[in-house]
Amino acid sequence: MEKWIFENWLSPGDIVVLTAAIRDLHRAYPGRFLTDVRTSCPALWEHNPHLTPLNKEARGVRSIVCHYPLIHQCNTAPYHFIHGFMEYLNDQLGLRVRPTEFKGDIYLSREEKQRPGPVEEALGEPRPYWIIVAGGKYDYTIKWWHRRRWQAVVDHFKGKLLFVQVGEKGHYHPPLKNVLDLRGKTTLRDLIRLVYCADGILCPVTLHMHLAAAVPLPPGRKRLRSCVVIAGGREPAHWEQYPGHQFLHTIGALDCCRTGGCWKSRTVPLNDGSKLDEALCAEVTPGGIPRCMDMTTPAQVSDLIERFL
Amino acid sequence: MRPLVIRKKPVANRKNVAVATQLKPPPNFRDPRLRHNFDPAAWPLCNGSPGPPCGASDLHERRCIEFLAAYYELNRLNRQLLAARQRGSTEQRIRSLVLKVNKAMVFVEKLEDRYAPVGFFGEPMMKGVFYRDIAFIRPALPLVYPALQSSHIAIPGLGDIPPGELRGKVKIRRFRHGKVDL
Repeated sequence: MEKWIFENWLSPGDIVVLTAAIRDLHRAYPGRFLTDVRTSCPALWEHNPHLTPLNKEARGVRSIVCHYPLIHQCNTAPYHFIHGFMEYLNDQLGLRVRPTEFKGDIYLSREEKQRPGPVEEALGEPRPYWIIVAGGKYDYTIKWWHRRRWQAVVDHFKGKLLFVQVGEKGHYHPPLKNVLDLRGKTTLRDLIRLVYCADGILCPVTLHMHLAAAVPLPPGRKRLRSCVVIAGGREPAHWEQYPGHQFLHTIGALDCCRTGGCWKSRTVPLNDGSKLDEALCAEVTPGGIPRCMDMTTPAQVSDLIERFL
Repeated sequence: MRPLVIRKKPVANRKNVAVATQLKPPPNFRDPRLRHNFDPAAWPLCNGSPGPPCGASDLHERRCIEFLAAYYELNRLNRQLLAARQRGSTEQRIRSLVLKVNKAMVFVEKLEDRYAPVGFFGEPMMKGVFYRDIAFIRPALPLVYPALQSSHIAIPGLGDIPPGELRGKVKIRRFRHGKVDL
């Protein structure tokens, strides 16, 4: 058997996508590989049956840093992010791995599935809810929508739908009113449990969008987990969008994303010494957000969520 | 992640530069605490404390002062409005004050918009109609290279340490797939 350790130290969303590649590697070559990983966010691999503990120094164990160079063709080639790691492994290891499912591969233990979800724990009773991610990291600020717009969506559903706000401490997640505020209060495993029990997710292009697809559905749920993604013009829809997701984008609608995603990083410079300051939005509105993000209105988002209720 | 090759060389266009230069208090900003008629009771707290001193040079503190000043103005006007209503002032006077409050609220929203691209925001905490405390979040410097945090980096012998030798609240986690982590 071939023993491989797959490495990747990118953001959690990328790691979720890598889980799909490991799943499909084993499906394409059952019994041929023993696989382990060295990645950021190890919580994403808990209970994953495709992993076998491997010592990097042991004889016969090889390791490879996983990239996805396919991203450089993403504006023109008909591929999803899911293909990215697989194509790289195919090239590097001479394989023919193909996606078998249109989602990442996240596992929950039986105990995690049976326990009351974080919302039920917080409120003392089970309630249907959507997760809302009203911000993000400071590296790609261009993905942010405006705080008041997120709030307008929440206000639209006041009394009809519970939103649970999440976000990592230290990232930009301005507080919303009339939500269950779990910002900075969830570990990655808590977040996975939160997604497991959620009816839907409202977010920019971020980890939660990948989790919406990758986290299994609870027993009895027949419909896909809803997800409305406010994407703007940074990334091509076909590269990011999962089945059943509403991906609100502006590719082709503005000069700056006329033929594909602009892949810029920031709305304005943060002057933090990062090279990301060199890839700036081409058009910022007086409201402080990119024109492409400005084109998506709270009313549009609310209408889409209404479809799922 | 983003493609390494950007089709067009990214440049800061005029709009970006214009916005970037606005991300500090404007030159004509005057700290209301320096005015002779300053009303200390209307000055909100800053993260539960009295707030940065007048003339602070730190950019974050200067931004905080700009927000505090905007909420101070709202408090001042709300107090005037409350007093006018209690005194039974004329409808014209009350309407004039309501318009001023509205204008001050629009000003706060514009201030928020100005700083929105860098993620600077002050969350007001209210008591009645008054803004008593503003909670600011100091943006952390972004980690361009994400911190490594993996239970899968081998820690030799971690699983063999007797629990009695671990100090403090340490929980050793044994994942089903065999990984061991603190």
